Amino acid sequence: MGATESIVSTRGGDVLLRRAGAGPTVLFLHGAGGVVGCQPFFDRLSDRFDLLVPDHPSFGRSPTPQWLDEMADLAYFYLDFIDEQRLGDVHVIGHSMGGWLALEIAIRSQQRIKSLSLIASVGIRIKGNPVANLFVMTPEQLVRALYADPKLIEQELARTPTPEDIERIVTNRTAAARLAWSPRFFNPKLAKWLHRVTVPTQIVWGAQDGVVSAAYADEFKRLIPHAAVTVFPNAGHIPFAERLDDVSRTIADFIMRNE
Amino acid sequence: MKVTMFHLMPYPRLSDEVIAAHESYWVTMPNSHYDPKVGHDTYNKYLDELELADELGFDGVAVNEHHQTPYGMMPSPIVTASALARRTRRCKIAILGSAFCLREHPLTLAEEHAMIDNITGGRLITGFVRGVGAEYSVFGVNPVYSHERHYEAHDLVVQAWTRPGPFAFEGKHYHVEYVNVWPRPYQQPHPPIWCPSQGSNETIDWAAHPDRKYLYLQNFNPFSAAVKYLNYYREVAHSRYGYEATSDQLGFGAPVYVADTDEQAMNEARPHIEFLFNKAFKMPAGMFFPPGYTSPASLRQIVSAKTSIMAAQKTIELLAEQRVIIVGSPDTVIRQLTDCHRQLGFSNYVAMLQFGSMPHAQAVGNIERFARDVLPALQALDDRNYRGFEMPKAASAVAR
Repeated sequence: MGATESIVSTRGGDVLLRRAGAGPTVLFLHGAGGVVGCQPFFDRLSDRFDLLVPDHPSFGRSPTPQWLDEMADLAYFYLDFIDEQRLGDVHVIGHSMGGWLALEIAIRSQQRIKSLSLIASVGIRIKGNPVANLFVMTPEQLVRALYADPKLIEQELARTPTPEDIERIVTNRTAAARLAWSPRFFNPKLAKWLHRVTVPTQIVWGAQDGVVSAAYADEFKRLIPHAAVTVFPNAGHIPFAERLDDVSRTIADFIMRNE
Repeated sequence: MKVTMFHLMPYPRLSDEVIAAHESYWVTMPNSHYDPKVGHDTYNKYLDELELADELGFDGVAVNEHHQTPYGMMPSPIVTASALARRTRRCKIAILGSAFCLREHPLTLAEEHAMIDNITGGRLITGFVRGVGAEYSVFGVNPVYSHERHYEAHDLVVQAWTRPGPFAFEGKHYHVEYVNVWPRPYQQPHPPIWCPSQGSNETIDWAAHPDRKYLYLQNFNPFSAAVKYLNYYREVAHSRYGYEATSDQLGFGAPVYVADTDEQAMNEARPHIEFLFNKAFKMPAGMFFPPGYTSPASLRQIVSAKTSIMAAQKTIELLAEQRVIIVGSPDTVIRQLTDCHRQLGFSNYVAMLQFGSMPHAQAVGNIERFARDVLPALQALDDRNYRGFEMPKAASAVAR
């Protein structure tokens, strides 16, 4: 994607920001695992957009600020970030925990948001249908929950994590626990405010998602009735990893329609 | 030296088939395997064992707290300590410990500890612990805030015991508009505070602070860990805080089993101690070491391990060699514990005399033999047996 990577200073502290491409501005909000494995998807997006991918404060290579206690803090941080970076109006894509974050931002202010794309988003709870316990699963259980394709699963299981991988996982797991340990990956008060989401919204899911079941696509649709829903067969929790072409096209076309 | 009999109050042994069929002995082991009749019988036998320790001259008895597991049946040590408060006459009652930071309102525990201290006329020892990692899956308390809540709960409780009320406690995790506990503790300024630990420099840095000087109790690890951490306490006190820690600030805990001969002791203790170490800690590593609760180093180990880091099997020979447990004839047990004390000079030994799957009659025999043949020799130990502290050994650890 020919990205620039830089530490940008904001009112809320320093943040690692990747930026690439030209076109309408798109802000990608990563999930609990960070941006690992996302590069091919980012390349597709930066072919058509000015793509911004920050490491959330406390995740990846961004330091942990004193003020960060809960998801609401990150939501206010990104409203500031969009203003301060003079991004104008942006399209927001949120994956998994990043989808939850996108919704927490949107219920506070959509002034700068043109559209929302939620991929395998968490943030709400269907009673009796919890998100997989990412904090307790073994590395193998996690890989099996993340992907649908048996060949990809075997390939991932065969990989030995590098020391850098391990550092990243430790950092991100601790950062995710701070925001999502309990209630586990949801905010009980979010659902009652989702009627405030009025910008064009799309919901994208992998049919075989073993982390957040595709039943959540229906529940989000119930709470945000104007949303478009696409569920991809043969894909798990990272649908853009397993159905790169289709997911990239679906997301990008939706953004262009709402530009 | 003072000797305290500690109890975990484990649920009697579940079958190997039941344990094998479930991924964890903690948090998720179905409570359909709990039989209330067995529970009734077991609680009372265990309480009898602790009451016997009081009669036989132990300096203290100790209970502890674990949740949603057959590993230990004391989700509230307040209940067992209360039962002991009126049935013991002489010994200290130590709660080792109370997980104040797991509670939404630690003030209730401050009140309950104060009640026991009043009822017993000042026989209470309060232990401050964070709970084991698995307990953060029980209450949903965020492990990332475990240390913050632990220190803040401590401040709330100690202030509640010592500051004239009413006052407002204005913390980050705990905000209480009116702190004004009735009763105030019987002991002044407050009951002794102990810090039981599996080994933690951070806990020692905190416990050894001149404002606190709390007893640090090294529990259920190889003796080499006690060497490392108890010496670290003396070092930190000397090098960082500028005072000499006394032996009263140090404790050592280990299961102990006494029989006529070493061989007999090993054979009798074997199934019970091996059950404790090889079966009763079964749980997913991620549950034992939740993020933030544990050091990044431990978390690194979990996320990079291909197989469970909890899987290693331990034999009684290994556990005895490492002095995780002390086992043998009275002479052997006295010799080993005297040697441990000679090296480290701790003022308190915490002995677990019933462990794992050990039945009541056998536990009573162990308690009686220990009290008769070992206890007097241990109680006679003092700083004259301690070889003294050699500062240079680990000075680099403090200099960081």
